[in-house]
Amino acid sequence: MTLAPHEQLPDHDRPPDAKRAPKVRRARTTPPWWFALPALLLFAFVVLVPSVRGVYYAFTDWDGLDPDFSFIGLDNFSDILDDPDAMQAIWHTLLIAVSITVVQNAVGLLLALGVNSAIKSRNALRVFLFAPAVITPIVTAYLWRNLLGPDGAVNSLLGAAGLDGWQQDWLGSPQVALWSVIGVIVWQYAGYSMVIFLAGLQSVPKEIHEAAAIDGAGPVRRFWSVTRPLLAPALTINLMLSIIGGIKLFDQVYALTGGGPGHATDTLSTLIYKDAFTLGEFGYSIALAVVLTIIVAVVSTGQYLVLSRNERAVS
Amino acid sequence: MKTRTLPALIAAVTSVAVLAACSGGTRAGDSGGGSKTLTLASVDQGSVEDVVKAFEKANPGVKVRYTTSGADQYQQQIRTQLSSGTAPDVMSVWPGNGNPGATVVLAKPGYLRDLSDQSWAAKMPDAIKTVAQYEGKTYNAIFGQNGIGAVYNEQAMQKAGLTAPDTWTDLLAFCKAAKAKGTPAFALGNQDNWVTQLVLYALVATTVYGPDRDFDQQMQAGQATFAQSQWATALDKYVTMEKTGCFQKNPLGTNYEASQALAASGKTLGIIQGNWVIALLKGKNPKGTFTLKALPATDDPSQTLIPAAAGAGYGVNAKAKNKELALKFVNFVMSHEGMNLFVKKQGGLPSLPDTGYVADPSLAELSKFITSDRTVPFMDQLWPNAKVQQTMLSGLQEIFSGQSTPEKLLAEMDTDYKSGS
Amino acid sequence: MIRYRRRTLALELAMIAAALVVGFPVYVLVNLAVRPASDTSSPISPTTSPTLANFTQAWQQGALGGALVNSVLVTVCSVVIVLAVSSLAAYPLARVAARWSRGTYLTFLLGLVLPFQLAALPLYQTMRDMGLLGTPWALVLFYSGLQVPFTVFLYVGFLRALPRDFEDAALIDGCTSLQGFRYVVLPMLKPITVTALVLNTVAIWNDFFTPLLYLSGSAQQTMPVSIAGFVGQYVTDWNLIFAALVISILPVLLVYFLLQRSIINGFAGGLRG
Repeated sequence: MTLAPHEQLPDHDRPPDAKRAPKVRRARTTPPWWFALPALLLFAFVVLVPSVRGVYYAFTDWDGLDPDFSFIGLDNFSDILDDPDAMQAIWHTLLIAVSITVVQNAVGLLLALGVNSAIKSRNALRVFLFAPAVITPIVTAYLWRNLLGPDGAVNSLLGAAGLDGWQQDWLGSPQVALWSVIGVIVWQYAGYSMVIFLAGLQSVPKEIHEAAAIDGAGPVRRFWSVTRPLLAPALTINLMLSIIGGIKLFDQVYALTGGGPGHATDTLSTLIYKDAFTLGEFGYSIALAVVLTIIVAVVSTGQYLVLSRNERAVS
Repeated sequence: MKTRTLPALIAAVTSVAVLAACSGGTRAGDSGGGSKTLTLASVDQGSVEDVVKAFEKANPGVKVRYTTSGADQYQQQIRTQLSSGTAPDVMSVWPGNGNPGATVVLAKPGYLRDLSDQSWAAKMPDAIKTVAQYEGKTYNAIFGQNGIGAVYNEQAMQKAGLTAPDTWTDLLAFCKAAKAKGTPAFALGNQDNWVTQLVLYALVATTVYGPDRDFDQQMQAGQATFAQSQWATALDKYVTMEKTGCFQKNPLGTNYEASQALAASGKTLGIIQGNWVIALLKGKNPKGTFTLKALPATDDPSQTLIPAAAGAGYGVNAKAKNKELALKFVNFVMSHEGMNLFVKKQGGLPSLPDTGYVADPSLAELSKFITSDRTVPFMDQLWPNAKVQQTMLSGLQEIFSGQSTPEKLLAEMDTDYKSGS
Repeated sequence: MIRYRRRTLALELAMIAAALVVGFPVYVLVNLAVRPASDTSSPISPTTSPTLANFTQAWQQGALGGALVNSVLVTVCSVVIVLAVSSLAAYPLARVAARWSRGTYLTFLLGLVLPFQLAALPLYQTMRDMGLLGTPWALVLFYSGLQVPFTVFLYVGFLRALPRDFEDAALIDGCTSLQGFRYVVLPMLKPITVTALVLNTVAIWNDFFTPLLYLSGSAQQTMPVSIAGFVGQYVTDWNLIFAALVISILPVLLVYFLLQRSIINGFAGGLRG
């Protein structure tokens, strides 16, 4: 049980070019297509078909209740353009997604480098730092709602440290609230990014590092020319996950601020919820959900294309 | 240890879970269906439990399958369930209009059963009747009413050597004196957006409806607007109270729970809230004495009005699986026994006048105002759609954070009001 | 081997400091959970007379026992189904270069993009027609489909990095495709299976809004829903609420601690593509 994780790697692990090497004709396994069928059916039944059926409401004026409603074409979509709350929510959504992506991955990478070093506490820290990622998001939100109150633990701690000037109305001030939300997300998921980066780091053979060290390359130089290129796949996955998660973020915002104060932390997801169930504008809220889908699709596809080109370029 | 533990662990956990699920399933099966079972969804967390118990006791063999949830979650659930035909027999319904679970909103598409033929429907006082009805028919069994005012922590008041103000000038002086003693006058939990409206309602009651009891009719007829009415004065007074230091620091970072803690522990002298908060304050501080008083908004105490209105009641699903039992339950809620039990637990007042209910002394002033017709309904109950209130709630938060102005907010509310239902 | 130097010590201290920052909220959570309501000192000062009374009270008043059973049932069943169908599907998707294979894979990836709000109401009505509302099986079905895209994504990435030699050998030995999958591919997928197991467990256990809707109107609840109801009911009693929160996260933490060593391996396998 004292083996470090990388020492447990399956022994059939080989350099990537091994699988392409022998060009001799030989029997090839081709698993049959129907292996994909059960998963595809479940996925279609639960996600695909209902989503397509759901999109229909985006073209209606349904209030979510009255069985009597009509088809109104693209009116909901043109209304979105005239709705300052929606525009603001789209902006917040993008701001949150980008900030989370940058900060969470930067922190995650630093932590990964830290726990991939020779420090004695590395195994304990790997476990500990990932732990927040498994906590129920609404539980996290309840906890932080308490911690970030005017007399909460965060302000108490700052006061005790003599940093009274840093004390804030973390969730009550519109300038600060959005950043508090982002901070909570980073707190929760930096460990998640760390684990993925760590996995990437461990695929860097130790010998290369040592060779580079013997050649006189310093740690920064070694990171840049040896580690960085090999981290590209981990980076791709991490960026994909955090940007998609950031754009679709709902539970934490809903339970932390409910979109307030005012609309200062409203995102597309919280607005969709409010419009559907508090304002009784179900059709309009589904139109917003369609916009959300388009944003996620465009951003993640664009990011994927850029990153995979990058990945090819560095390898 | 590595290879064998995991499958063994999973197997063990699965079998325990499946076993438990099967036994759980039987339990659910027993209580589901049958003519003796009533389904109920309620927002009255903490009080409906006792009423259900009493109802089951009064009707041996009857089983009520009920769920309780917070208002937000409830509104999502009940709308989805009604439109999908899966709603329970009896459900919480808010009075009037202007809320996604309100009488008019649910009765208009025909989801609620007409309750006009029940014996209590005719006995409701007019103020309650207007918000329990849609097109002249009663749909909502409203059992209690609530008022908004200043709830004072008597021990804290004594310690500060101050007495409750009954004019606007006194109120501001009171705020200054309280602040000087280090215990601000009122706790305000504006982080939860529904709380933001309460102080405003308390001020609007006197400033808007004091001179003009028919303001709502004028609004409906399009003869009045928020911006060109005393609403502007009331909103100004709200802002003045904030500037005078009537509230603790950072109201926007303080949530409802935290504001209760402040008032209960005497860190503020009181809290401007609905009477329902008294029971919660007593829970936090069992030794405390809390009294509800009207919040003055002018310098003539005789002009002061209290916003007091019907609380959420119960409606019967038009397609209830068990109609008979549903009516029985609603009638139990409206009986003296059920009603008194409910309002006692919630710390409110009954909606029918003759139940023999002895109000808690903390509500003496509220009772007096109700019997002398010095109350006005909560403003949103007569608004044409839910948007006006939502705009007001987030707008008030924006005013407190300096992102908006009273003029801007009232203009937005007028726009939403005119967009109709 | 890199030796332990002074610089390493500095790094060690810095990392421990980072861990303290991460751990601070958890400290407050536990600190308040073991504190009697009468103790009103600052949330950061250690509780002087810790008690477990809050935990027993939360357990009983919140009826958390039933919720725990439901959550375990739903999570275990869903995770088993998701892992089974996703690993099977990933096999041809990773190995066959035909157009249908790429198309199917992209369809699955679409699932990562779609927001849950779109499907919520139509799916609710389908569940109603199947008579599954109010039962945990609605949730099992839901998660079994919902988690497929992410899980397929993990498996395909991992499989593509694995050499085909073993499968080919199995075929020569006369295995059918299904036997080849069962006896050759599946064992090789073990590292990523552990990763997928943990991540799916976390996602399903923690979901709040789906059970809120699908189980409403029944006495069956899952842990997050019970917790939310509990918070609504005991609004100011933070010590009690925090005790309930601690109870709710313990089972997932346990799964994670038991399996944490293998998680990184799984990721590492998938990243060598």
